[in-house]
Amino acid sequence: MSTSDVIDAGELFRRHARFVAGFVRRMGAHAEDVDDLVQEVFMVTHAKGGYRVGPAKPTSYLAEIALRLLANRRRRRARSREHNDSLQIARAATGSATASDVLEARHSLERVQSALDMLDVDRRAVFILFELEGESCGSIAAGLGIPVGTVYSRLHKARAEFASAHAGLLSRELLRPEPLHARSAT
Amino acid sequence: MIDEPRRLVDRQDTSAALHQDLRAAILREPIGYDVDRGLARFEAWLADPASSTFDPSAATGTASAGASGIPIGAWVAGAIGLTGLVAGAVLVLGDQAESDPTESIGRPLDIERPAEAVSEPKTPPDGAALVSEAEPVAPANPTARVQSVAKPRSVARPKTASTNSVAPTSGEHRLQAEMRALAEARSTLSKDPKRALMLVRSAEREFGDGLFAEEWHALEVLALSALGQTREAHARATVFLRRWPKSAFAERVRRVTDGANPAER
Repeated sequence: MSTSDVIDAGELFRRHARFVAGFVRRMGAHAEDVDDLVQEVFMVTHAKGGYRVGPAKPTSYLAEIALRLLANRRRRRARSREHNDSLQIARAATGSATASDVLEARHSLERVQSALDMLDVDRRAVFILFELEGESCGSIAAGLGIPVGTVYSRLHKARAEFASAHAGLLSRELLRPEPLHARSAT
Repeated sequence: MIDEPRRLVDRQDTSAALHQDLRAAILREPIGYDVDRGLARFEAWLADPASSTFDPSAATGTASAGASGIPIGAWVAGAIGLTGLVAGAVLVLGDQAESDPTESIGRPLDIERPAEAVSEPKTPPDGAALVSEAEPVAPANPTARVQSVAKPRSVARPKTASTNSVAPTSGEHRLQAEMRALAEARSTLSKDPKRALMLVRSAEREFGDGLFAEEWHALEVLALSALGQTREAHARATVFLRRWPKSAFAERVRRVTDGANPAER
């Protein structure tokens, strides 16, 4: 295989570090761990000789490494992410637009993350890669080293669970009185 | 051929609220990440993995301690870990491995990803239009690869010579421990395949199906073969080739199934 078929870790970092950061965050990594996790993903990638062009897109390949590192980390400390941490996801992501847009986007991201948190890790990974990152099922299968049928199966279940969780979150919000600051923001 | 399912955000039957939330999640990153600072930190590590003066927090402006409470700088304390791994795996497992390990230091491992998923596709979540998928793009300048990995050097590291345990030592990062153990196993292979095999077994217990499972399994085949345990070597080689048929180690492992001893090459 020629060197043109390999993308080294440095180049991968430039192209995909942001993806890795977002992916591990959505997978439940603590905010303070993201930077180290990103480093570790690319260290391992380097140790493995970089990404070799194949059926898995680089992002699927990196996701698989990130998932293993996350699993290791979970085993080390089995504490779940606090709700406050989840809120930070939304805060970190808001950009411009009006206050009401920002608030709305924040609520959207909170709901998505909360629903994601309710999914089993394997299904969550497939859901994130397919629904949010736009990876193909074939690439996900190749990246994670699982049959494409398993990807379909996990995606199918993840969708049902995600939709159910999302609907539950929405209905709870409807029952909850609107906070004063939200009204004043509009 | 099964059509690729359509994303929820592209489907008409997705509820408006779900569509809106997914769209927001797709458009907005869940966390701000400074690529330049992260890259500076990574490149500093690449340039000198064993540097004791490297301060990750200085490079990134972020906390230097990871979840384990171990500064990322601790990674480099055992330069044998990654540097040795890269050199060693190229030396022992790589097809072009030659006698001088230092010549191969800058070369990343020649490792192939596991074969693309095979087996019986199940029904996709929905049967909709095929989504075209862009193929991975080769780097614009493939020769501009990082060549600055430090040469192996003598660095104080946990002694395991008297034991075959590969468990992380006190304060050692698990991944760092796996890299160190793998480097040790590979360096042991040629002169003491029995010990190399014991390290492989220990790693199997300690790390399970870890990040370097492919490397460990290849090493196991080679160690068994070197020990003359032909039948088991063949069996393991067959399993390896089934799992990683496109591995960069596949050819080497395949020689075992073909009856040749790769350690003699």
